[in-house]
Amino acid sequence: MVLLHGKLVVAGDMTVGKTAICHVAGNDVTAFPKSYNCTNMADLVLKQIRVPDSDDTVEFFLFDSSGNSIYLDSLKDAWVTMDMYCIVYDITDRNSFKNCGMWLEQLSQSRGDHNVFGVLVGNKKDKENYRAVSTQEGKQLATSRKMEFFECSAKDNKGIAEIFKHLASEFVSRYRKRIRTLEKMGRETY
Amino acid sequence: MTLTESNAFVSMASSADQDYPASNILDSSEKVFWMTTGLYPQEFIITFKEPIEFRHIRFVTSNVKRFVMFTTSNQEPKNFETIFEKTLPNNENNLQITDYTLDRSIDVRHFKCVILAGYDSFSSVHSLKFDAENSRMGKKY
Repeated sequence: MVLLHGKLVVAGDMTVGKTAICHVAGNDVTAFPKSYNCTNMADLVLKQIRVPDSDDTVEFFLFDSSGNSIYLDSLKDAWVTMDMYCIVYDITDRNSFKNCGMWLEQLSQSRGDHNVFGVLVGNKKDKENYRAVSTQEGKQLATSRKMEFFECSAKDNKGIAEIFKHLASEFVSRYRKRIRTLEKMGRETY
Repeated sequence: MTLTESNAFVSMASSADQDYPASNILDSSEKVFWMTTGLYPQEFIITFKEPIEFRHIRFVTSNVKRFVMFTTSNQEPKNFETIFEKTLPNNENNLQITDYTLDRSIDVRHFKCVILAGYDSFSSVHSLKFDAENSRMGKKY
């Protein structure tokens, strides 16, 4: 049983719903923000997740980065210590999907020494009628960049828990893997 | 039983995994270790029931990027003074062994180490040894 802490950077274009995802994830209940408020710089949301089928818990420090490019330079300084990232796009907005590559680039430029991993999330699944990016395209991009892919709706609180469960189990498995390596090293040196 | 085990104990640690406890730091074996469980900085304090005097420090870690060490001779663990600060090279997940000799022996009741940054989300501390060398009959603490 262990409690791990990880810094999760949430990035993506403006108005794709990063803050909504963070709030819905952080408070579980219907915390969906009904009015739009552009995030200045970044918000910090805490979220604890019990890893399925184990006693382990991961506490996420959700670093909800502003999608506004004027903050990009200062955001990058704060991204250096991230452990994982989550790139969000809006399935009804093709441009936000196109920009995912740019966000990924920015994140990888500013990543520090940590061995990071990430997920790609298509938000606003409730607006199926206005869909402009197919699930297939999302999956393809995610696979080509070695990320896991999710679609969710922050408004209906659908598919959000799955994202965090995945991130939490991956984080714990990295921790366990590290321990196994160290224990193996210990056995070999003596 | 060595003095290390009887006189010193870890009085505070910022990460707690019951299978890899901070008490492993004082265990003389490098096979057992203390894991940090994510985010930096991470720190631990070692308290000596009887104050000790030492000059040498041997610190064995993995994935630690930068650390600072402090000591105090106060009864209470406060007013720490910096004794040593170092950035370690990335040893690609292997053990990092740091040997350091102070200019002079110092009297210590509380010893604090802060890991400021790591080369991965998780770092580990395998052992920490203090050595007085020529002072006080060269006892190892």
